[in-house]
Amino acid sequence: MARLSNSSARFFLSLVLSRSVETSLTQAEFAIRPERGGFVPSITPPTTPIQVQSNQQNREKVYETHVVEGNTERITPPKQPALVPSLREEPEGDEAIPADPLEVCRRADKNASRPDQIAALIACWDEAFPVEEYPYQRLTVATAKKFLVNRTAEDVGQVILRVGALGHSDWPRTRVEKFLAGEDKRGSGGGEEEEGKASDELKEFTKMALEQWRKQNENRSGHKPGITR
Amino acid sequence: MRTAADTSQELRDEWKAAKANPRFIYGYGRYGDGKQWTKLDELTRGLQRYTLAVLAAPPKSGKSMLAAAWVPFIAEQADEVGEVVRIITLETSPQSYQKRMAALMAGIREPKNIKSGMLSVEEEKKYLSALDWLEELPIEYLDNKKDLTEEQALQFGNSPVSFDDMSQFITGVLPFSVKRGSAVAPPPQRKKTYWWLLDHIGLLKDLRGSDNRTWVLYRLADQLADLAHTYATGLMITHTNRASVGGRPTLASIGGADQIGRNGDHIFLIWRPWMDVNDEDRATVAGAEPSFLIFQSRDEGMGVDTLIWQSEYASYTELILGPDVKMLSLLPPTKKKK
Repeated sequence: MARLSNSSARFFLSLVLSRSVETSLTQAEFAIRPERGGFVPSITPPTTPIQVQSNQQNREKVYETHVVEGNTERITPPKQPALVPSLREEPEGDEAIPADPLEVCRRADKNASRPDQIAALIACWDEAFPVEEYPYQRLTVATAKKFLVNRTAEDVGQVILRVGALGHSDWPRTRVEKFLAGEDKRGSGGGEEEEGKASDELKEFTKMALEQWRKQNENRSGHKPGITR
Repeated sequence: MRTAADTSQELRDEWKAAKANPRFIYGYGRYGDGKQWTKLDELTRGLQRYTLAVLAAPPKSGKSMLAAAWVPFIAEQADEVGEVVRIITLETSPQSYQKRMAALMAGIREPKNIKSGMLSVEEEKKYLSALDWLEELPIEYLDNKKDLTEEQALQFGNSPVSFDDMSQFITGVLPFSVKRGSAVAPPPQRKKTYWWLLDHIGLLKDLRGSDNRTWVLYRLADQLADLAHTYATGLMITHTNRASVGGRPTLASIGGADQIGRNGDHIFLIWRPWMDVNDEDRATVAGAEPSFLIFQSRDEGMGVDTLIWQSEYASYTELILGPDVKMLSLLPPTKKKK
């Protein structure tokens, strides 16, 4: 009968003693692989909305937030703005949830309920910047609160929907903030100057540059971009 | 180890060669053909040997289109010396990339008309002629096998190509042969890389699922610099973030890791000031939008090339400004090397 060497015998013995895929022969004494949770703390389970009810009058939904590499906006929220009891419950008649997010904003303003206003803004955001297209640029409760300082939900909602209609934006929040700032200036009679308006210097430069551009093209007798041969 | 004596001797030889053949563009090649991209060649003094160039701009600014406009000119020069231009295209397939170049060369208005088969007779003729011409050029691709959507292109590491793959593609030798200052010779039958283009660094597989993306970007920036300094000059495309001065991108705006900016021997930053203005104002430049290519270099000084972005052609063209045009005050002053 063939004899096994000492190391081979230990190898086969280890196979016999193996009880699960967690056994690793490459590590000392059947150590559980680190990536399977042996040496590292368990990974935090996916976040779910947590409802915090501080008191009956001021019920507010709070989300756990993620920090995604410089993006402090929270991970995809539940699609429905159904975080606020007044919207989540199924009221009847006039109390039914309107389909138009702006109408939701109006009602939230009318009720003077901050949680309702936040939920309404999230609904507007979801419509303007769908989660499929903007998975990492969701509206957080904190940002919604910031938008609502000295503004009504209807005003903010209108701006969100308007910005969404302009087409894709890599930084929708910044764009919405710019538009809101522009609205504020107009509202307070802040003059004709609008946020994001081209400066006179840029306009003057552009005028002269385009004049030269036309001349350059004339000299090239209708030359189009590309290689001239 | 390299001594001061060796280095001085090299510099003496370099001076002798330059003196024997004085010229304004002293690089080994040009970005253009002497008729196009002349200002860029003047700023950079042409393609310099063993340098890493970085082209940075926000997403959707036309970085790839700008680089694609230079490729045919550079490939033609590579052909003259029997070398190859190697393109690592991780955002688009080689078909899309070459179609883009052909459309630029043919001056196709609305390049999407190529797919829909709606080119005019004149455009069709130019497009097919451009494809014929490109066919003859020594261009090789290492690619992602598919076109990415805008969102996919923004996800770090979203390609099957790693730095080792691209290094092997450029050098012709197995990975880990690129060490600081010591090159391993490629097989003799393989054509040398004249110039390479990485479009773009954020899609390299090395960044996928990394816990410390900044650290990986640092390492990649070092490896890319080594590759350029050891084997062949190359251009790396990268995104910028929101950090800027008055809307103008700066070195600090280069996304991910400032090491990318530090490692670049030549830095190109695209600035499209009209992108930041409201839609009503922007409509006034819908046909032709003045933009800037800000150039910074350790050795070749700094300066600004004025470009015109034509959205219907999806192309940049260089604009040579007259002395009477006052440049924007936000632009950096041009300091030419004396």
